[in-house]
Order: sequence, then structure tokens, then C-alpha cells
Amino acid sequence: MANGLQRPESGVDQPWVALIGPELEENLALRYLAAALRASGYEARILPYHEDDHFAAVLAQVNSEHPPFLVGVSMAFQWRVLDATALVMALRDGGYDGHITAGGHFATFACTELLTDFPELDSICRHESEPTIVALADAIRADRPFADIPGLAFRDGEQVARTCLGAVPDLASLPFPDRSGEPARCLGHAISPIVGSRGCYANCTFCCIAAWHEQTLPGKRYRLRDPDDIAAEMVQMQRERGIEIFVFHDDNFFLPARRASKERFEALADALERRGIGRFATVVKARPTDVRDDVFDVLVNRLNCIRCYIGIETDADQGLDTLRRWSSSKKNHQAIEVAQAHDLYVCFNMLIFDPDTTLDSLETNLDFMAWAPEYPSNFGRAELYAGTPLLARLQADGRATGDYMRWNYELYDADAQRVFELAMPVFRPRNFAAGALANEIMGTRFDLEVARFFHPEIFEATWLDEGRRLTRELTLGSVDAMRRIIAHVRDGHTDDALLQRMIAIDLRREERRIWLRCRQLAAEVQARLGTGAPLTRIGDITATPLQQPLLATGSRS
Amino acid sequence: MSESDRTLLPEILPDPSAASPDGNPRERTRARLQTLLARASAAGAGVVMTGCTGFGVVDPLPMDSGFIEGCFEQDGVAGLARLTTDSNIEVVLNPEDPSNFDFVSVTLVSGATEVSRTLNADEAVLVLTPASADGEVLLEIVLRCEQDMADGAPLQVRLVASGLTTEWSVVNGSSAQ
Ligand code: B12
Ligand code: SF4
Repeated sequence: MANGLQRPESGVDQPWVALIGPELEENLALRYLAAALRASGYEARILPYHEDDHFAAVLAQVNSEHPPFLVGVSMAFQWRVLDATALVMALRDGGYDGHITAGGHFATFACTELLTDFPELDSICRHESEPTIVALADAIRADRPFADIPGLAFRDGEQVARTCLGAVPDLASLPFPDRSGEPARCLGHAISPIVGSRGCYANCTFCCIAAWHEQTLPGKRYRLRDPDDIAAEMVQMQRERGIEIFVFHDDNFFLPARRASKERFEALADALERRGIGRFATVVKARPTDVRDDVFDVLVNRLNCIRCYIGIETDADQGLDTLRRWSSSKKNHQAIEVAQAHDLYVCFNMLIFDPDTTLDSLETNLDFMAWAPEYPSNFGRAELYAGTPLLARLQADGRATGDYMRWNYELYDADAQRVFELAMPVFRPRNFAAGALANEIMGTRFDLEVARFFHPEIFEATWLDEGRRLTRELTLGSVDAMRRIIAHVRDGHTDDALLQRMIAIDLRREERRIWLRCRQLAAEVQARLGTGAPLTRIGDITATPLQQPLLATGSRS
Repeated sequence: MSESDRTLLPEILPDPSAASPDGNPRERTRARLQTLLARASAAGAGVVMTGCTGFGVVDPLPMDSGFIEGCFEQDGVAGLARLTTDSNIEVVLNPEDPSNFDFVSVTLVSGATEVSRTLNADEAVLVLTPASADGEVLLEIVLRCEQDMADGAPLQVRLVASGLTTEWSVVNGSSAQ
């Protein structure tokens, strides 16, 4: 685990709240909730739950001699909900009889279904929950009814009752999130996530963030923290935990108007300087329409951005329309060019499959990937998340199959659906599985950017060349394989199994080659810097005699 | 998680018998719970439940929802197959009810060579090199019920690891298809 939480030993009988969820990184949702509970006088402990081993540990801590009076289970991820519901069942099977609540994106939208199907759950905190969970804890302790707690769904006899949503929390008055535990590190430089805003001004059809904030703040859909408040948190994190790399998890770090973005970034940079921040770098996300020259000048030169994820998602007019991206192919291309002009590392995802995808739109998207091959990209299908307009549309069309825990659909175009079915099995190991190279190569490229920013005196330009070359090989290999599949379908061939087998063999061979070179590259960087381990999983690399001494000198953190 | 565990992050692959979600959300939750309990009893695995490991990766894409995460579960045995980065297959088997059952033997019948194995009462881990890119691996598993100390009938399972995906099927289980 990246950040082993050190929890304070509780006073033996002190009533406490257990907050359970993935801690793949510092889980800001649970950490904001923990801070809010503590500010109201409750002891809150975060119990990480994302590895098999955690399951037994969580059960033991909750079903202990001093169980928490309230358990909050994270159900942010629709994709992982069975892990969460299974845990809730196991808690009850094990005899836990305190209050169990849940929260997060999926639980918010599926609260009625979850409370109906799982009597083990007592309530669900909907939407942003700092005030809700505190009010719930108060009500449980005082044995008061729940009906006047805003933003709660709970079982009321046979019915699921939902109270009105309260005012959204005032971001300026929320306590900073709990930061216990050791931060993760890349090449020895401590990293931590942070949010400077909540929500996003755009309104994409497949996105539960847009759907979420449309419910709480219709029309606007985002709220900002004051730059000085963000700077205060960053400087505190640097002084107390040595954080040098701040990963902004804002869905969109930018504002709809270019000038407003620029002014906000200047204000943040000024505030950081005023507060005397030391060396730092940032990581942010943007929509293609946000990537403008003057804004990126400030982002790169004053906020030291070393990676920007650009949500390209689709370059086809059809896809831009289906997904309501409020962008265009021209803006997508300009975004990459602006980043290139700033020598900024960017990466992106492509939702090349959506319900309306055609073979033509697939080809357009592959052309885009092939046009920007040295920036890591990944591709997949637009999935149907609870609460989204895309799900509502497919349900209305009778095309959403499965149930609320896992919606599935077939593309309207039969040929595109066939490409999808042929492609996904061969691309699973590359794009989605644990250790998928399309993801991992982003880690290697990140290592290089950290080395470039923090150690310019040691950094070798050839490392970046190699990183770009490897990314290019991977992207072009993927594009080539996808084009073979499309040609197979266009030409009406039927020997599907043979095609898949041949493509899979090529892809696996290519992945092994590129993966090994990524590891060698990261090992070399690690050894030369001597400051700590990279994010690339070097593992048990079989080093050549030349690399052996390099590996031996590289320190591991 | 140690570095060596990290190189073996799981490829959690679909059980073809569950090509459409089996059962309602409660039933699927119950099945998931059994798997988690079985894996939890094989302590120390340190296996992440998801492929995402944070900072290096930005916005990882989810698999399509048609892909059912699952593992093979048949006649009291739960199995997972993971493709490792050096293109071996790691097979992890657990008795579904480790308090009552333990492994007697796991035999590699055909289709691969064995790189390593660890056989404990509650977990068997085999690392296999498949004989061919599209080969089938046949395994025979014998469990013993501790209460009556009788060995169960051998359960033969077929693992097809074609380099595309890894799929399990049961050759002779009580509900073999
Ligand atoms: C950081 C992040 C990650 C990190 C994980 C960090 C971690 N928790 O360990 C990484 C990169 C690893 C990641 C991975 C994935 N992610 Co992600 N991720 C995010 C992101 C960008 C920020 C989350 C965050 O910190 N927000 C800030 C906090 C303060 O806000 P919040 O999360 O909304 O929390 C508030 C409320 O939701 C509520 N709440 C939340 N949890 C709980 C729990 C309880 C008990 C209660 C009472 C209330 C409550 O109260 C909180 C405080 O107000 C969100 C987008 C977003 N803006 O939320 C996507 C997002 C959550 N991820 C998403 C997805 C799809 C994934 C993946 C499934 C992708 C994949 N490849 O499979 C994986 C799954 C990871 C897993 N556990 O298996 C989707 C979820 C959609 C859905 N409905 O399922 C989101 C919404 C992105 C999107 N736009 O679609 N992710
Ligand atoms: S731009 Fe991104 S975060 Fe904003 S609505 Fe679209 S997908 Fe969601």
C-alpha cells in the first residue's frame, strides 16, 4: 500500500466511527469525512479496503471488543460495488449491530436500489457528505430520528425515505482532509493528492460528476476553493509531510473562461510564493477546450505543472455529439499542439466505443491516436454509470441490459459492435488488467518527468527520447491491431478466432518487449538519481550484466 | 505490498459460465463474499482488488461491463488465473470452505510445464508455462473433507490460456457443462 496509515490508538471506550474504502492513494473522500467528524469531536479511523488481505483485517477491527458505533463504507465505484456490499454482509454475518451507512458516487445514485436489496445497510449519505455524516453520528448518539438530516436516504419501514438535499458544504470552512500516514513517493519525492474545486462546468452525457453536480448546483456544476486557502493547504503539507508533488484531483482544474483560469492560476502562484513554498510540482486535468497558450504559460512556468491529463475522449464528430463533449476535432488537435509547444507531458483516454459508434468514427479516433503517438493514451468503451444521461437514454431505448450494479449494452451499429467484441478480449491485458501496459507506461513517463523537473543536472535527454519511442511503439501497435480488426469486419471475413489469436500473439510479444525496456529505463533513472524507487514496477527485472551494477546502486525507498 | 507481489498483480479473468451476470445483486454479493472469504483465509496474498495503483496512472479506464470479473468456483474449489508479465500463468486455488476442506493434490495433467508450486491445506499456487500460445491446460484437483477424512472425487478443470484471455471450464464436476 502506498501510504500505510498510522492510526492513533483509541481510548479504550471512546466511541469511534470506521470509514472503510480504497486507499490506493490518500482517499480524499474518506479523509475529508474523517476530518469533519474529528472537528465535531468524534474519533474517526480510516480502514483501507482494496486488497484481499484488508477484508479480514477490516472485519476484525469492526467486529472487535470495542466496535465503532457507526460504519461508513465507500461505494464510489460502481465497478467495485460487490466488494463493498460483500463486506457489509460479512459485517452483519459477523454480528456487527451498529449503524452501517454508505456514500460516494454510486451509492448516491443507486441509494434506493441498494437500501431495498441490502437490509444490512441502514442508510446512505447522498452527495458530498461532510455535514451529513456528522449529523448522522449526532443522531445515532442521541437516539434521534433521521428524518431531519439533509441528504440522507434510510429505510423507513418497508419504504426507502430520502430527505431533501441540504446546502452544499462551504469549501472554505471544511477542515483540511486528514493526512495521517506516510505519503507515496516517486524517485524519493513525496506525492499527495489535493482538490482545489469540486465539480466540472461541462456536462458530458456519460459522466456521473456532471450528473452529480447538476443535482446539487444546477447549471453551474462546480465550486472553487479560494487560491489562498489551497496555497495554505499545500504549504502545510510541504512543511509537515515534505510533499513536493501535488496531484490535483479536480475533475477540471480550469474555468470556462480563459481569462478567469489564467487569473486564478496567477493568484494561486502568488499565494504560494507569499507563503514561501519550497520546490514543488503539480499535476492537473484539463478539457481540450481549456488548453490555451497563455493559460498554459502560467500553468507550466509558475505552477510547475509536470503532467496534464487532457480529456480528449473522442475525436469523431459522432462521438463528440453522443458524449456531449462541447469540443471539436480542431480543439483536440490544438490542445496537443499547445502542450507540445510548452514541452509538457500530457496523456489522454479515448472512448472509441459508445452506443452510436460507427466504423468511420472508430477510424477517426484511431487516426487521432496515431497522430499523437508519443503521448500515452488508452482506449475503451463509454460505460453506463448510475445517474448519467447516457444510461437514461439507453434505458429508454430498451438497450441497457443487466441491472443497476452492472449495466451493459450493445452498440447500435452491428459492425461496430462486432469490432468491439473482437477487440476487447485481445486488448484486456494491455488496456485494463492489473499491470496493463497502457496504464503502466504512464507511470514510466511520469518517472521521467519527475526526474527531469527535480534533477535537471543529471537528467539525460536520451531517457525522454526512449520514453517517447516506447510510447509511440505501444500506441502505433494498438492502432495497427485495431485497424486489422476493422478491416476484417469491413471485408466480411468470418475466421474471428484465428484473427484474435494472431493479433493477441503480436500484442503480447510487443508488450513484453516494451515492458522490459520501460523497466530498464526506470531502473537506469533510479540508479543514476539514487533518490528512491520510481513508480514503474521494476520488480524482479532480469538485468543484463551492464545493468546489474546500476540496479545494485539504485536505492529503494 | 512487496515488489515481488507487485510483479504478479492479478489478471482477474472471467468465468465463462458467468457470461451474463448470475443471479440478482444479493446473490452475486453472496458469491463475491464466498470468494473474499476463501481468499482471506489464504492470508498474505496482498492481492489488490483492482488494477489501479494510483499516481502513475491518470484516470484508468474501466473494463467494459460485459466483462464479468469472477473466478472459477465449482465443487468447493475457487480458482483464479493470472497472466504474469513473463507470460506464465499463475493459478491460485482455494477450498471455498477452508475450515472443512483441504487440498490433497493438484495434478497438472497436460498442456503446460510447471515452473513452481506451493501446496498448502488452504491454498495451492502453481506457476505454469503453457505449452503453446493457444494451448489448453488440464488440472486435476482433489479435496478432502476434514470431517470424514475421505478424499473427494478428483475434479478436473480445463484452463484455456490462449494469450487472449484465460477461461476456466469444468470437465467432470457435479454440474459440468
Ligand atoms: C482519485 C480518483 C481515483 C483514484 C483512487 C483514489 C482512492 N480513493 O483510492 C484512482 C486513480 C486509483 C481511481 C481509480 C478508479 N476510478 Co476514480 N476517481 C478519482 C477522482 C478523480 C477523485 C476522487 C476524489 O478524491 N474526490 C474528492 C472527494 C472529496 O470527493 P468525493 O470522492 O466525491 O467524496 C465525497 C462524496 O462522494 C461522499 N463520499 C465519498 N465516499 C464516501 C464514503 C462514505 C462512507 C460516505 C458517507 C460518503 C462518501 O462524501 C465525500 C466528501 O464530500 C474521481 C472523480 C471525483 N471528482 O470524485 C474519480 C472517480 C470516482 N473514479 C471513477 C472510476 C470509474 C474509477 C475506476 C473504477 C476506473 C477503473 N479503471 O476501473 C478505478 C477504480 C478504483 C477502485 N477502487 O477499484 C469514477 C466513478 C464512477 C462510478 N460511478 O463508478 C469517477 C467518479 C470518475 C468519473 N468522472 O467517472 N480513481
Ligand atoms: S469534462 Fe470530464 S469531468 Fe467534466 S463533465 Fe465531462 S467527463 Fe465529466
